Order: sequence, then C-alpha cells, then structure tokens
Amino acid sequence: MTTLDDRRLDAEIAAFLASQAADVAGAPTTGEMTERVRRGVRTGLPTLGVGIMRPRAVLVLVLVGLCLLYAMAMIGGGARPPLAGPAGNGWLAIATQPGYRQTFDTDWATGGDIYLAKPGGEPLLIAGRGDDGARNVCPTFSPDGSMLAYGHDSLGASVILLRVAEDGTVQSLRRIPLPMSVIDAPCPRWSDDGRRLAWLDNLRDRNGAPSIDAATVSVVTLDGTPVEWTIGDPTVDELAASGAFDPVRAADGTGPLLSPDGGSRAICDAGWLIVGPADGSADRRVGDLCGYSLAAWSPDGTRILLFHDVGGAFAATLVDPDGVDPPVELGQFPINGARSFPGRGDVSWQSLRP
Amino acid sequence: MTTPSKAAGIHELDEDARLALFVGEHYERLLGLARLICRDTSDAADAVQLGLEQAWRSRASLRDEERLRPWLDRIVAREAVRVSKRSRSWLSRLLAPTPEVGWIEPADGLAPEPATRAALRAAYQTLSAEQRAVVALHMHSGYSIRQTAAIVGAPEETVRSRLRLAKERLRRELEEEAR
Repeated sequence: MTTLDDRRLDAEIAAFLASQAADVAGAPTTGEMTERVRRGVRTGLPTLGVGIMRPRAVLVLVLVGLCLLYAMAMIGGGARPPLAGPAGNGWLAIATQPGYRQTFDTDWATGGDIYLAKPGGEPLLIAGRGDDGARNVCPTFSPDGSMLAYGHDSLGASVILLRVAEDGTVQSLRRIPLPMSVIDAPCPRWSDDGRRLAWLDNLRDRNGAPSIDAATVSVVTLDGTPVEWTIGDPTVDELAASGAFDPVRAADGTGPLLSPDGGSRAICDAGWLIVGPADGSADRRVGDLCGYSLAAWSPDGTRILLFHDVGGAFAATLVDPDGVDPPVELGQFPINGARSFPGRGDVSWQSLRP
Repeated sequence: MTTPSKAAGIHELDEDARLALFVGEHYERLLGLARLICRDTSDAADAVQLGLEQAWRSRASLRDEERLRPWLDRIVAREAVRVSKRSRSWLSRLLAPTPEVGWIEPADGLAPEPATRAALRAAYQTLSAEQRAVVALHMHSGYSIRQTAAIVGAPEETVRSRLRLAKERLRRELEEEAR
C-alpha cells in the first residue's frame, strides 16, 4: 500500500476542496438569491431555520431544567457520593526508559522495561524489552487505580492496557495499535473520568528533531475507538508537563513537586531534599537524600520517591518527608546502555480508594 | 421637497440596493463554503440564504468591518452544519422519500474526474458535518485553528481532533486508491 506524505495529502485535499467549492451547478444566481433574501427579510415570516428553532428551544429548556434538577440533587447530596477517605498507596509502576522523544538514536535501541514495586518486596517485571529491544514507556494508572496503561513500540506503536491485581499480577485487557504513521511509543494519560486515554502525536519537526509546535492530542476510548477531544481529556500542555514531552524537566527532575493535596511541596537543592508548605514559607531540610530525580509523592502524601544513579542502573528510594522514618530502597533497575534516565513522567503511583 | 411616502420609497430603494450589493459581494464565496459543508448544492443554497438573512438583520451588531468576513463565515458555516444535519435526520428522510441526487457525471466525457478525486469525493461525503466544516474553514478558507474554533464554536483541541480524523479518513481512501 502506497503511503502518502503529509504534504501530498494536503495538496490533494486542497485541490479537491477547490473543485468541490466550485461545484455549484443548479444553485440560484446572485440575483435570485438576493430576491430570496429580500423576501425573507421583508416579510419577516419564519424561515425554515426559525421553524426548527421552536421545538429546539423547547428541547433546550427541557435540558436546562434537567441540568438544574441534577445540580440541585448534587447540592442536596442525592447524587453519587464523592470518593470516601484519603487515597491509599498501591503499586508503583516504574519505567526504566524515558517516555519523551530524544535526539539520541542509540537510546531507542536499548528498549525499556516496566516494573511494579512496593516497599517490602522485590520489583516485578511486567513489561520487558525482550530480545528485540521493545520500548515500554510512560506507565499510568487509571484514576481509580484499577488499570494500568503504557506505551509500547516493537515494530509498531501501540497502547497496552492491563488490569493490576492487589498481589501485582497483571491481566492483559487490550492492545490498541496505532497507525504506521506513528513512529514511536506513545505516552498515554487518562481522562478525568478514566474512560479515555490520550497522548501526543506529531512530535517531530521537518528535520526529525523533537518539537511540540505541531503536536496534536489523540484520544481513544478503552476499546481503542478514536474519538474527538473533549473537556476532561488531557490538553497538549498537560500532556507535555506530565512527562510526555518535557526533556528539560526530566533531565532536571529536581524542581518543585507539589503533594497530592497541594498543601506541601518538595524540592532538591544541591543534593538536599527540602520540604515545606506549598507557598515556600517554611522550607526545611529533610536530608542529603536527593539523586538525579525527585520523581513522585505517594497518593497519601506520606512518602516521596527519589531516583539515584548507581552506575549502570538507577535505584528507587522512598523517603519520609518528615524525616522521621529511614529511607527504603525499592530496588535497582537496569539502564542497559541508555544514555538518559527516566524521570518524573516515567513513574505512576497507584491510588487506592476505599 | 420629498413627501414622506416618497422618502420611504427612496429609503427602500437604497435598502434594496445595499442588500443587493451585500449579497453580490459575498454570495459566491459563501456558497462555496456552504457547498463544502453540505452534501449538495440545494442545501448549500438554503444555508447561505438563511445565513444572509440572519446577517442582514443583525448587521448593526457588527462593530468592526474588519471582522465582517469571519463573522459571515461563522453564521453561514453554522447554518450549513445545521442544515446538513437536518437533511440527514431520520424524520426528514421519512418525509422526503425522494433519493438524494448523487454526483453527476461530468458532461465532458474526454475529461473524466481523476480516480483520486472521485475517491476523495466519496470519502469526503462520509465525514460528519462538523468535520467537513473544520476542513473547509481551515484548509479551504485558510483560517487558523484558533479562528476555526471560534467560528464553529468548539475548543481548539476538538477542532484539531476533527481535522486529524478527517484527514486520516481521506488519507486511507487515497492510499487504497493508489494500491
């Protein structure tokens, strides 16, 4: 099958549109249209549009009324109750390779793995690079913590959807293949309601260098059906900031990281972990604990995940932001020759709701 | 001295002349835009008529003449989407059993439409009215994504999604045709 490049496609479409726009045989002449408009304006008779608007107006009023009733029910507590209690800490999903596009081609050849990790146990490999150096990147738990999605690239890009059990066993739910025009593993993120996945496309400029200037958001339902972007889906900026395209942040992942409740922030400064209120009013040094990346807060806000370079691998360590409990190492994860380390966008912490 | 009735007559003449100028200036362009959104010429003409009526009645609300073209395009594009949907509703199909007129072969048998053009035309007809609107406004009328979003009244990301899905479908048709 012949593959069209974008320029030729645009040229074909433009030529077609020009011919289609000119295909108006049988349309009223300018004079006839003027007369029609004049009659419509003068007589003030309901045109076809107005006639349809009447039942439409009724429909709009009914919908508005229903919305008001729903809002009243929400206020009155009759709607679905909010999630009860604070979130608990579930599994950590950690990718060994950055999800964002890089310029070093050799990084792609190494491939990447995804592990699940928890304090007190050994990391579980759930997506391995295999012999063909597959890239497995950007793990992301659904908002309710029941599913894990990640990007995969092995002779073709796709999004993989898993269900994660409490003991860490995973069940494959779906593989969503992407078009051949997509040249790298996507970095998926969830919609607010957990029913759709979105990622950035068109992340290269004409020279093949990473670029977000022409980026677009692709959205699919969980059965893989492409759908239009809608409110509640991640935007370009949100996806870029999440690690899907943020090489600066990932390379310098020590900047301010807000806690899940937004009340606290953590920052690394010259190797020191510093924690304090989000407004920076009362920062305090927790310890000389920082490595190359300040990766994540736990969902319950009681732990901070740090990555350290241990030579040929990186170590994931959980730290108490209050400085009371000693740090706990989750495990060491191989880099296998990759020239960049994963960062903030390459870890997802399962949020457990009672 | 002009009598009131004669003055009213002159006023009406001026009004008619102004309307004729207004329609004459914009009709052809708006018809082309509506033709790209609607599935046939008669729907396009209806959309343009409704749009021009609406625009003429509310032209006093337009304060910036520089905005006239996108303002008109917005009115007609939205009208075209609405008309296009109306003509495809089950009720309209029920009440109008006459089948729609399909594409008519060109009179000049020596210059048949290129196969790629025919494939694109068929694929274009399968796009939704909203997708055709953003394709027409962005790729034919030359509006930016932001301007297109303002015209159709949708978020920019939605416009990008519609464009991308529309182009993917058109690309598939062209690639199939090239096999």
